[in-house]
Amino acid sequence: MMYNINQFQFEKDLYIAGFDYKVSNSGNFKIWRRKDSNLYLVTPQDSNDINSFENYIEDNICSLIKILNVNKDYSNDEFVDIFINKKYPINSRIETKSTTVPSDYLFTLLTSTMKSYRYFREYNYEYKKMGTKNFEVGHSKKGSYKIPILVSLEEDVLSDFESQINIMSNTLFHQEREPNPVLKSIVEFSKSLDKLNNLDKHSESTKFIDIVMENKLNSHIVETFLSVNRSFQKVREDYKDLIKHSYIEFESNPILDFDVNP
Amino acid sequence: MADNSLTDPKDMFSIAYLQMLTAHIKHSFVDCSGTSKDKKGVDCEVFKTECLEVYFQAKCTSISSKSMIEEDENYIYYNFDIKKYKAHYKKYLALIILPADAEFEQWLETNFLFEIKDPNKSGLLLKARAFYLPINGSYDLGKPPNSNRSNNLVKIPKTNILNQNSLLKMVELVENPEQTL
Repeated sequence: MMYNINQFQFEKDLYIAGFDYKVSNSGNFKIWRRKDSNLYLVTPQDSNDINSFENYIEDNICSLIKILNVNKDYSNDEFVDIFINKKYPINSRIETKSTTVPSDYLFTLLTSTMKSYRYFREYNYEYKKMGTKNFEVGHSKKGSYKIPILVSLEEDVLSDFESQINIMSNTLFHQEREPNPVLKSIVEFSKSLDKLNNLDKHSESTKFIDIVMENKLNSHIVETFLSVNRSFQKVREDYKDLIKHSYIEFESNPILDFDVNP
Repeated sequence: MADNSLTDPKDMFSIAYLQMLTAHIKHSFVDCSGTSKDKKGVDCEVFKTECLEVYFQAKCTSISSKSMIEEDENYIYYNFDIKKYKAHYKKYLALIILPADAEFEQWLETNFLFEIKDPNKSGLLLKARAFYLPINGSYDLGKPPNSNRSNNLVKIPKTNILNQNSLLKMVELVENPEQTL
């Protein structure tokens, strides 16, 4: 497998994720380590030595997955596509009573998830609405209906974030940094999803309002997923004999989110 | 699905030799035959910690294969196109040298307790020699004095003996890249 990774960008990502390097005895390589692991990564000191960087990239990805403690479900290819390319997975998990999932149910769950994040970000953080091109549907995972929606951050958000890192690097390395508002919106959205999952387990309609109030659930998410007349609640009712349970879970990006406490 | 079956006895001897050494140093072993790593010139891996593996391109030849091997007092000259393999500090050529093909029956001897009364004479004997060569870009190409060969011969010092001690040393070097690199 050839990975389309630029050495300069890769090293910047390592830096963002809390790695520091020492030059090897020969002076030809940088050895990147993080304090919480005895594993390491290798990049050539001469960034024009493209062959040498390519020779080590597969080992580097293997070590990076371990050091960042990334979910074991991800292959090296998926790790590069999702985390190196700076996306956030929002996973829909569906437990069925049969061997298939109705397409209507799946489609509604996926579109509700995307729609709720777009509204959430727009209304809570006053950011422009995220374009639909920033959403992709990933591969389902073998053995379960786990369908990831991958949210890509916009170019301007990433460049804002990286320029903040550059300013930091000129002063203090790994100093606690201000969370980027968009990263913050993603983390806050994930917390709301957690609450939503809890709510889903107690979905008796008589207690609905009490639980929403008690959990301080975001109204846009509740409306999108659970309002009686809205679409997802409808398909859930329609297919209650086929679908045992479904919930949505969020995964952080261990590179972008390192050391950020929104 | 990966086909990791081996049929050539020499291939099997080379993998088995490395696997036996690995067992004796209580490390982990992965046979990469038929996998994507095999296509990149890795036949097997030895490691104590995952992601800190030593990679081997395992070769086996008999001393009667004159087209493949020659030797003098200090070096083994082995016909191996090392330029095909990307330089990597974790990667080694493991070369197992067996007696002449005509002596195939004697390559491996097993004498066990139920056959022999004296326990000291019981055991398993592989009549092999084994050497290693790092594939890290700093190898020597060469040919024996007075040889007319034009093949790709790598020059392996006879001091590069592949045994438990050298295997342990390789794992240690991978775990300490600041020194290795």
